[in-house]
Amino acid sequence: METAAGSRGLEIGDEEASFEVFFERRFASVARALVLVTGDEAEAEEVTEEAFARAWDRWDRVKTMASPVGYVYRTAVNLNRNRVRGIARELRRQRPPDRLADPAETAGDRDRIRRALAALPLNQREAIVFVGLFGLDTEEAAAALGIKPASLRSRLHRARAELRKHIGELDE
Amino acid sequence: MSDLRSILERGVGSFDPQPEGLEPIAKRLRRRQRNRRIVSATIALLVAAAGISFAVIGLQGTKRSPRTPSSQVTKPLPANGDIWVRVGGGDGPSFVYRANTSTGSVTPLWHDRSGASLPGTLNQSAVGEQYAWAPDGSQVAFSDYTGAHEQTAIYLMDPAGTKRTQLTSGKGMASFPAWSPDGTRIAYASYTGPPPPNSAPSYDPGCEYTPECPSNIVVINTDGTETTQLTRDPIGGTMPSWSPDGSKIAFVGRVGDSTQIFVMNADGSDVVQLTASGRATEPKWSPDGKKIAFLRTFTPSLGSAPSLPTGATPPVGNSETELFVMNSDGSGVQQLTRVAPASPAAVAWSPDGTQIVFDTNDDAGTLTLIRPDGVLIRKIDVAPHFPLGDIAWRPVPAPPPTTTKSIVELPPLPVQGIVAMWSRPNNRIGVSFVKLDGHIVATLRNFIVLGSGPGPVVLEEYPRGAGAGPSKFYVLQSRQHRLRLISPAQASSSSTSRRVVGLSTPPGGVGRWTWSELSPNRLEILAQWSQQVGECSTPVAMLETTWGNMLPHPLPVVTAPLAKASASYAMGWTSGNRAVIEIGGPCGGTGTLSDGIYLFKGTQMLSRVRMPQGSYNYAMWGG
Repeated sequence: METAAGSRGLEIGDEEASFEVFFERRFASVARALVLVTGDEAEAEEVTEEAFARAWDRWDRVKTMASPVGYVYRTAVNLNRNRVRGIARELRRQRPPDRLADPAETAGDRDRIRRALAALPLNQREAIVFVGLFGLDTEEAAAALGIKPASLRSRLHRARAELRKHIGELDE
Repeated sequence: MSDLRSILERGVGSFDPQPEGLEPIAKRLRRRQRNRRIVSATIALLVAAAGISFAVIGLQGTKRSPRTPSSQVTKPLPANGDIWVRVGGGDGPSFVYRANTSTGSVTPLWHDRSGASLPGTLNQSAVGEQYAWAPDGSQVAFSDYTGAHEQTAIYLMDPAGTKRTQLTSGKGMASFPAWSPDGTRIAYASYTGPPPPNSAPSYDPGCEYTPECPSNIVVINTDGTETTQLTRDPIGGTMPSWSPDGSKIAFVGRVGDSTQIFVMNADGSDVVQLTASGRATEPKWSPDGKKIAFLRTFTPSLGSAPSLPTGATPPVGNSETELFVMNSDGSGVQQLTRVAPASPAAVAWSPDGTQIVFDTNDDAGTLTLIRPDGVLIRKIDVAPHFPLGDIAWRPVPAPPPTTTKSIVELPPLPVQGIVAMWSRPNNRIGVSFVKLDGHIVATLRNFIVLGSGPGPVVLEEYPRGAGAGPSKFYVLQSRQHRLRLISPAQASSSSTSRRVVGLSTPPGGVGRWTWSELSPNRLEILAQWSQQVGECSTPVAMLETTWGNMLPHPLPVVTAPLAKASASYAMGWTSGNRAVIEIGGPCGGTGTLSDGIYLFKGTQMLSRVRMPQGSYNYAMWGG
């Protein structure tokens, strides 16, 4: 543990070596990305907390990885997938696009975008968040999601097309 | 045209969850490790463990309570404003700087009467020492010389320095002001004896450590009336710090040649010594009331410091001062710093209680912000090459609730669903709108469910924050995907409404029917009856019926599993003729089913509906 007590000069050393520092610095960014995948803030916080707990459980190994935060992202996304699978009829959960287009139901820009994302199939949602928000390139995102780069590009293309329909301001 | 990233970031919006320490993660980790051990146990043991766990969860909730118990919702803590810190002092000039903890920017504000100045500092209202912010951040109290020889008083000043008034009067020295949490009183250290020898010109007000200056703690109203001395010799008192509830004051008292931390009631009674070793000073009560931070000095004559951590620099000289924290009853003392050969000069809690700031009397000129467990957060360079002194962290009162509008928009809701109220650590409460397949559609924080079971869904926006107004009540209009403001009277009548019909006597001929509803296909009746006065014996029955000839016929298959649950509640029908039943509540935990929401098809239990973590009070819409 990196503490003020243990560091005359109070310099933080290798940030990835201390789980606590890693957790403090990365928690919010992971949860913010996951809110777009899960569509719900409480769910995003829950899977993020669980993902960090699992990273902590095997921190000796995780901290030596090229990207510990990438591990947490992957874990969180997988946890969310399991959560979705566990819910009966979850595959039917996407809301019909015609409802999304109703401006009367728009409760603001944020909700509009979240609803448009929620209308995407889960695998497209993951793809677009990994690339668009995590900032991974297609090769990295494909590896993280365990699919071929070509599949990822295909999902991205379809996701962008769907989003463009509902948001209308998305460039290729 | 926006790029993908900016659109996604807009989708994230202001959602920026800050980790609330490692404890939630540690809990999950312990649970994982425990689960691994349990895997080898029998299924029967697993079932038993789950039963106990749900029983515990059930006890957290208050079923059918019109409000959340007050213990679950406490006054919210203010936000963190700027830190005021004294720079210099001793034989040299001193200044007051303002540090922004978000940006790390530093601004000089005031300088003392020595004549030295810095660009931007004001000299017409020299600020003394030992600053303390009012709980609402509107005024700062400090100690300064009155102009008379060796005489100091407590002053009050607005943050802009335009209104400066002298609060205390009389001979002697008044120092270390501390505001009561309600902002009506100030406790301070008062010494009315002769000036200590060799005090001028570098003498700091307060006589805080020396037996030559035996001060006592006095409390005064902030309008200058009613001065009351709280402490008595030989312990005396200085450096008071109020508990957040205003009932107690921690302070420094004399014990032989040393000083220790004491606590007394706010009227001066029941003095208890908390520390015993070294020389303890600067007690600062945490905003949540659980901890007291303090400084402790060890010298050869006062005992030695705890063993050094590996690699730490041993102290130079004969004494070492470090920052400690302990529980407010004196237990659980923990050392937070190892800054020797420097010494912490002052310490303060962040108004929101998440951080502790301290500075050092060497020439680092740096503020160090740490978590209450000692983990370093950041450092702010205030004035390199200068020693720092007193610290006062300005509170920013929590904003009043923002919901003043009569409509709260929601995302599109399904035709039917359940509003689940939940509470989580750190007083987080709220409701989630859950589809019957367990998917959470929307979440609102600081709302609670009023009334439950069938009927209109009424929610209360729980007032949060200083100056928060009365509760606001809303009724759910699920088809319009919104909440609509209603009056408290409407909320009261709506939340207690029941569709009560009389059929025949309940199963066994005991009790009375309290509610019933025909299924959409008109083949069954979901009915609830109460066997006794009180809620802990309310079973649910499924009745067969023929339209036009509503002859009730209790089905033992349903009543059998539910009969062992000490309480169950009919919530309504789904459009697919599934009965929604809640089992549990404060009387739950003894049945064969865990507390929760269940779907029944006919007499068969189909599934348990997954509800958000920590939820315990439910209402159904569209049922």
